[in-house]
Amino acid sequence: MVGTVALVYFGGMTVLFFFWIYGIVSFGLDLKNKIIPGARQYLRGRRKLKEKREREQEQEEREQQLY
Amino acid sequence: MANVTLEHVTKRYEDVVAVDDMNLDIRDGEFVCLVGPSGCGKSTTMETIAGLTKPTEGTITIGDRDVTKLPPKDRGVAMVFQNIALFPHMDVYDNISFGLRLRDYDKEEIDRRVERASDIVQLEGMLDRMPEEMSGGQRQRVAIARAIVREPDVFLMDEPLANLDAKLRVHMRTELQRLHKQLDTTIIYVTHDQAEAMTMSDRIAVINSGELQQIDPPLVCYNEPTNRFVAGFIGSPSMNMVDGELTPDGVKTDTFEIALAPESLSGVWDGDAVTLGIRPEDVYPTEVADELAHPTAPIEVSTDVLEPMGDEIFVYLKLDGAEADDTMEGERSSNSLLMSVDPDSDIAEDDRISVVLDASKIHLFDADSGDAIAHGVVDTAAPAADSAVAESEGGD
Repeated sequence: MVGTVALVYFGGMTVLFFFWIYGIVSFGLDLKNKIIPGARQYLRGRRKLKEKREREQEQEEREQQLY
Repeated sequence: MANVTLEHVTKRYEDVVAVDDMNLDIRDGEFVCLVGPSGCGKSTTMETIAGLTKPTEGTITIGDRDVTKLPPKDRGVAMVFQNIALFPHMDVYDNISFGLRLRDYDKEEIDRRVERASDIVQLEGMLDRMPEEMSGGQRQRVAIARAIVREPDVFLMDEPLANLDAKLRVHMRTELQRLHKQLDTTIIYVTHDQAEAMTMSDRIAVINSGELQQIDPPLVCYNEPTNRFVAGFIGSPSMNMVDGELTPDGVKTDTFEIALAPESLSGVWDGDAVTLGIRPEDVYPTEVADELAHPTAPIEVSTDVLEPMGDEIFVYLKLDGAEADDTMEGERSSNSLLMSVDPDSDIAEDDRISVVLDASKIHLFDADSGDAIAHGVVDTAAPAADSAVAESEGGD
């Protein structure tokens, strides 16, 4: 009886900790491979869009000097 | 009014050289067209003159001022753009006077200049209209008036007629010529349309791959192209080009031979590869050879496709014995000829005929460099040429 309880207890803990650790590792990998690169890309895109807008505005201003 | 000088102007974008060591000297009051195929660097050249782009190397002078580092507003130039670029929320008066208001001109002066400019481009009575209520041609005239009111030293026009339909384009071409005559101001005009360049300009600057190929009056570019590119680009339809080789007696191609006067071949040697160029209007059916002073020996051809244009017919000719050639020279195979004949000619498709070339209109180009070797060479073998030589000898 004690043997069965211990088996169920250790089995249950193993499953629980396995998924706990699995979850942490998965999150770490997602952070490294998806979330941080995605955020970087988003910020880079915004910066590029801003630069492009500024370039276009400058070009427009220069063109208007020729009107 | 002012002259414009470009000295060794180069514009690089990382690995791409858009303008390569450009040297141009545009005289005061001159109408110069920068012409070339798409992507050749003509618009970039104009943008460097306007101040929209800074050259990587070289200097730009307008009048006696070095303007290379000056912003567009301080260069004394006004520009008309291809996309017209009117403000849609402003009426014609406000659009035309925009540049003057930006520079704080007083109201009376603005009124005077707007009235004068609208008179010149015939926009009287339309000053209160909105751009959307106007046709393409009228909108372009507003853009030109906007440039005129500035009274600039130099007008820059970047394909201003490209967005107009063919009929309106021809009309506006005349208007621009009239405008140039009236204002007598230096105009630099960018176009890829060689017909526009030929009809409007005092001189044409032909550009290819960022390099200036030739700058000369239109007829000089047409009759004495400096290289094969200019010969093929100027003239519509383009010049026939046939590859050949120099022999002691003249030029030998795969399908025919042309006997040439030796004095016309200086600087080249027997065995050199050359390209023979002849314009479609200088190819004639043999029947009219008598009317030519210097016809070549007859060349056997068969007619392919006919293109009736109303005032003339373009006849595509296949050279007898020519191998099938997939290499295209512009719109034609280098083993074919295009001939222009009168509309009443009885030439039909798939006829076997013989043609002659006007030897005085033949151009020879170096096959490797493409540089012109000779313009107008005389066929010593042709009877008419013989008699012409005999006459001149007798006269001496």
